[in-house]
Amino acid sequence: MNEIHQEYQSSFSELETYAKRAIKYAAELGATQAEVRIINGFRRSLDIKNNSINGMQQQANSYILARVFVGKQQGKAEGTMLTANSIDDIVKSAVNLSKFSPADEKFKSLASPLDREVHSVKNLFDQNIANLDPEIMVEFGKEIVSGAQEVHELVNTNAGITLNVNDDLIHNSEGIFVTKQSSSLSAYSYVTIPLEPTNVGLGSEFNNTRHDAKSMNCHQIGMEGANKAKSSLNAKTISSGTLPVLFDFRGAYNSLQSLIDVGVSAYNVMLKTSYFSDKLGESISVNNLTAWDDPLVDGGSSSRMYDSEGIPTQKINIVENGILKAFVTDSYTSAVMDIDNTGSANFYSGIKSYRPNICQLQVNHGDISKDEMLSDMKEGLFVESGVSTSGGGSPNISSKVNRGFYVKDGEIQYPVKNTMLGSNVYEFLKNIVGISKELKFEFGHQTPSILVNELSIASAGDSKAPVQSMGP
Amino acid sequence: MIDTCQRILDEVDRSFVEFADMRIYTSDELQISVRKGTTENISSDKIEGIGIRALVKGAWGFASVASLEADAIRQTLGSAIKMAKGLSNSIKRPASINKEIVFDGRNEIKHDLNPRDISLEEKLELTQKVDRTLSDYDSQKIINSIARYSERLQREQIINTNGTHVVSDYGIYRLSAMGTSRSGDIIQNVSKSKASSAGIKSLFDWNIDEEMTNLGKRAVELLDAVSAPSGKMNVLLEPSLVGVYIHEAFGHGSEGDAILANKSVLTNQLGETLAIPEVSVIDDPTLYGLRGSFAYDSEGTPSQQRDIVKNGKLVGYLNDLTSSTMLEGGNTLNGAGRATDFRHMAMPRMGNTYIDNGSKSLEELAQEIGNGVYLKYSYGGYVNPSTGEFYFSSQSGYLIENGEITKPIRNSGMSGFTLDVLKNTIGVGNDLDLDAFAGVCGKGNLTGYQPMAVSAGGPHIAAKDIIVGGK
Repeated sequence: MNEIHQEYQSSFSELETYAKRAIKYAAELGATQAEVRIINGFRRSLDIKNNSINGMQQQANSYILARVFVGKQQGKAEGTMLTANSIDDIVKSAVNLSKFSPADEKFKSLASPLDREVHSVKNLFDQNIANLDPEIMVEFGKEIVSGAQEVHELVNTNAGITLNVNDDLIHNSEGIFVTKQSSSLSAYSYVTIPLEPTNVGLGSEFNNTRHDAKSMNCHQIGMEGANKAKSSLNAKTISSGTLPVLFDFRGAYNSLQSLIDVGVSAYNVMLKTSYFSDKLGESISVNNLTAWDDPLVDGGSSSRMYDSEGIPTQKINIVENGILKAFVTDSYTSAVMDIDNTGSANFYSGIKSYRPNICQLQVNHGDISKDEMLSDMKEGLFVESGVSTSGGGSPNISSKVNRGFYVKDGEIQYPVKNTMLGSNVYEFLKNIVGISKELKFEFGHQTPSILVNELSIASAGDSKAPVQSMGP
Repeated sequence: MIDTCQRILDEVDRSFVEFADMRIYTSDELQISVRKGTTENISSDKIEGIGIRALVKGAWGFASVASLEADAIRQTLGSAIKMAKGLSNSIKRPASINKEIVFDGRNEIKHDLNPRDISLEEKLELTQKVDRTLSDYDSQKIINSIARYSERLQREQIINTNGTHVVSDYGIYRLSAMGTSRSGDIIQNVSKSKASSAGIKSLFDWNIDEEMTNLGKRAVELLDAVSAPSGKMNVLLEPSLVGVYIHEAFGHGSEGDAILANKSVLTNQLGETLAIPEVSVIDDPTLYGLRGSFAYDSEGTPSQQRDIVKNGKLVGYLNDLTSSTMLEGGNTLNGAGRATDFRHMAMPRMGNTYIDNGSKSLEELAQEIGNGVYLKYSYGGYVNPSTGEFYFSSQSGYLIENGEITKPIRNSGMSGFTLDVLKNTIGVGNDLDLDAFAGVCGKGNLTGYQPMAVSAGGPHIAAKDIIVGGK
């Protein structure tokens, strides 16, 4: 395995040459503004199937995106091959496409440097991770399997270890020139305990680090996945009706990140498709909820000094004591809406477009312990998975409980299966009746556990209420 | 290029490398999107590179390179072999490949209308018309409309140490629309698409006036719809939801890699009766022109129709070279090994999955339901193959009261178990729509998440005791 182990070397000097050439060439072809993003790196991963190491791979991760404007006419082109000729072809293609594109009269300009402090963010790249010996990844894989096998004799462990290392350069004709180097090492376990065909325990666990391979306790990842699988055995359905739900830290984070992000993206606000589009300055949740976006957390999984257009990122107060304080923007939406560019741009390759989004949501603590909320619960659910809106951004919530437990008289009774939660964004955020005083810090975000009242429960147990519908 | 790759592949030391293959991949993609009258995106994407796989003493190594230089290809092959070799002492269950399987073939797309013969202006005009027609249905209540046109033409050249030599051209084309209606805090989204793998004739022939008028009408009507009910109930599913349901609930569980990894509820179930006799489930990538159709998979195996459930009995899995070699019990190779592009390793995937036609009319199925819901149009879903627990969401629907389809209901989700639901099917319709859902399936393996063009469909079906998660 040592034969494929190579010292990682930065490619920025080569990428800079390509980027400058691309911007110059775009101008020669008639572009009035141009931007290029070039990524060069690799992704290496180890695969574990059925308690056994199965394979390893290393992918080339090379990519160039050119976005050009001829006046207000835009064209974009992408490619995987990083050679001078192929980059020329990509730029040429983008310019040609822009000439066919009708003008977007709302477009003002590509991003330009802002008079804003650039915050340094530590631990986003680590040479030791970039140079990680593949043999260590194999050992990590074995540790996951052995950790799971300590928990139950019937475990079936599928797992993976992934290393990502990238050089990322963004340059445009308006003076943006930024380079970002990133590394990450992640590991997950996906463990099943098949007692019977209709009684299969399932659990998963994961961890991620940008800078400290030694913090990756893979034995623990295997054990935790298996413990979760074990605790999900003998699941039952429950009665349909309305119950309070205590979301554990990850469930609370996934729910709040998803519900708030869709609503505060300035793109959705601009189109008025956001359920928060007319709610800036208004109360959108209980008044003890405060949430902010912080891309600057040292070593955070999604932390970054610059967004995907090269704008410096910053902390953004989103919800303060229940009041909606800000939308997150990129260069286009900030210009159209005439508000500050918050440095929240992301490029989505599926739709070939930039959209502003929350990077790493942080949520304040409350004043009651999670254990108290649980012990005070007469009847309800303790849920470790999250909810999200359904139907492409509609405020309706209709989510399956992927991992949850029925609670009676303050005690967890048994895992639930075939159970769904229903509500809508407005009611969900207003029905938060408890925020834990404990916070979970992981992967660059902080989150409490939250208790939400009045969620509709649909399950296969005997129904408390007859099937009914509600008015608009 | 393929000759260069063949020469390099021929250099492999077969004394310890059991199998190796190379996939030389190129694709050209065009996307156009128009949002409420504004052309938001015109973009091209050119993906080029080579994916190389090696099997050494039962261990897989895979490496990819975005280069067509001989030295880079040779080095990448070396990396794949070294990774596999390095793992070979850690393998408890060695992978294997049948070395007797060899394919030689060439596929050219039989275009009904070649996208290269149609100008960019015409494609843009088509996209603009979709957006405009939808928006114009009710420009006050439909607050947003997005139309997207996409075309991708790709070529895979596959060679392996068994002697396979296949060159396969492939195309996927889609025209889609999404509309958002709003009244105060009520927001509803609807979508519709037309897709093909045979060219863009069907996109240009699409009855945009009728389709977008119907879509706009649906978006506006949903503003006055009631919330979906919540609980266990009888459900009538429209063909696109039937497609997503059978894709999620059953298709993924029948993929050979899930069986091999012992993480599917369908493991060891071949020959078992899992559904009522009226239910047959088929995956058929050979159907001309559908979004999930292809002539050869990414390992060079010719595609073929795959029967998964026949008259209620599980009769087959979807297999690639590895799963067909390693799974016992007569698992045949059936051309299911698909990869998104050169950066990814192939794995068993679906193509066009559907429940075959039954005998009942929509009215008869509604009568079978009695009281429940009629769910329509999919927003997608997911499944956990290990437990068979699945979820998918509908865009809209109706209440069914005393066997009659009555009030419209808003979007909602539904959940159930693979092994329960097919047995709980109480009626299969006679109105088969093979590709009612033309979308994207996402699945991950060693090389990461791989989106894949698929279609899914069926006739209307009625099922009892399904969990619907409205409010």
